[in-house]
Amino acid sequence: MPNSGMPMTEAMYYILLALLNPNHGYQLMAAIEQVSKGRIRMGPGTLYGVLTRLQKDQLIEILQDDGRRKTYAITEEGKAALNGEYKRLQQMIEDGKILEEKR
Amino acid sequence: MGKLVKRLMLDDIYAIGRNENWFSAMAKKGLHLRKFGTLFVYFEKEEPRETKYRIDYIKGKPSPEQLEVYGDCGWDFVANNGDFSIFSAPENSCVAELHTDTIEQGFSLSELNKRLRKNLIIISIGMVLFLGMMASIYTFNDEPFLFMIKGQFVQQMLLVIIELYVFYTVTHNYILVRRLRESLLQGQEINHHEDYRRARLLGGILAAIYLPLALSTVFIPFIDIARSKDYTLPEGTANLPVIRLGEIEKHPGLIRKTGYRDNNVDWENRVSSDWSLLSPVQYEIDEHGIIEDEMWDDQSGIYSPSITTRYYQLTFGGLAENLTSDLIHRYIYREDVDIREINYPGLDKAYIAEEGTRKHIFAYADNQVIHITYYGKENIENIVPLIPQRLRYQQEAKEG
Repeated sequence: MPNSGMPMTEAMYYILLALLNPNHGYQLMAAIEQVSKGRIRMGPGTLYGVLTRLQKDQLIEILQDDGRRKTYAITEEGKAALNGEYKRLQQMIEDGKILEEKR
Repeated sequence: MGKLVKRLMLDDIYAIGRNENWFSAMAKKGLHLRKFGTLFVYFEKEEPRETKYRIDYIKGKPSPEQLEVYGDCGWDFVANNGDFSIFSAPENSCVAELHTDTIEQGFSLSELNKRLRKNLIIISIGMVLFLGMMASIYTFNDEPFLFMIKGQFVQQMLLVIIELYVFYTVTHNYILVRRLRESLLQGQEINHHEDYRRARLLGGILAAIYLPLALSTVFIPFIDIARSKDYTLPEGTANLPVIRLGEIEKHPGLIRKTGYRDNNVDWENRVSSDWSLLSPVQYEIDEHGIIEDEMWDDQSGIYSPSITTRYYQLTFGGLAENLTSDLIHRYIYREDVDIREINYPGLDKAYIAEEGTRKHIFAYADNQVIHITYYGKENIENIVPLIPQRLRYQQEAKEG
């Protein structure tokens, strides 16, 4: 896994997050937009680039492939990576609180 | 459907921003990208439209589902070649960018980067082996000039140039992709409006040099084959740079001794002509005779003299001296033979050597080199005066 330990890109984080519910192509993009409350509109090139990479790193898997569309889902390994990243981000927010104190 | 127009690629597909900009400029002129390969790009002539293009690296062909998603996002699939797919959208549409995360885009080039690096390593090893082989052919050859003139020297050198060009292309592509990947990983977006003119001009110049060279390496062997022939030496006069047995042997009983025949060619009395870029006129001419009522001096049998003339007209006169010494090295078999230099008007240099009844003359004048091997009883020095007029005749024939 080339990305282990490294901070995730925003695209990777949100795709993993969205894939907690198995999903496919275009709907996945909509799900990302929804889960980021409209903040992230991901380009299709980025989406498929990340999907290919995550699949290679076994953080996601193809749940179903009927030839026309593939349904992706997060793997246990993916969940662990996502939790790790979540904790890291939480820690960052925690550490950033001094900003508010100094305000 | 509009007319298809073909253009040379001239730039590397790996130069993503440059090519995207070029395709857009063509669309503005009414030439819309339809197909692309390594050498050619095909455009369809239609109304000019402002179009933006994106070149995407997708391993293999994009799946129908993927194309559908790209299409839903406003990006229409245009063409695909290898791992590169091209998409387009109207310039003023507000579709989201194909790639919204430069770091992820950088990651997506990792595999390509690795593959190109592997190519570079393989081709580097190949280059070293190839150049080493070329160098050793000429370094370890005892007669490099003879080999150069008889062999495919020019063609081999063209091959070296082509190899170097391929090496340059592979290196260049690797550097392009590595730089692109690094700048993406540092968060720098691809410049979709990068100037393409200079790179295309340079690519055009290189192609204009390289393509004719590549074609000539293909055609030179055919010219060589077409120009080389074997035929029987006529009994009468022949317009050839050759010394005839009849000019040397004084006995009136001299008749031709014929030998093995193949393809209607008498191999004992044969003219073999050849061609190469460094020596466009080459002859090797054999003639065998017999004098029934005369014996060899050692009484070993009926006297049967023979002569072989090798003639080379060189493209560069400067090669004459080196070729002559290579011929001496090649055709004098015994090491203890005394090679004498003699001066004769009309010849720049001449050498004679005798190995018993096997006698040689090596001579050159300007860009013509001649080597005569004579088996017989006559004195070799008597043959030398015949040479200048034969060379002169050939020179006049060439000029006339």
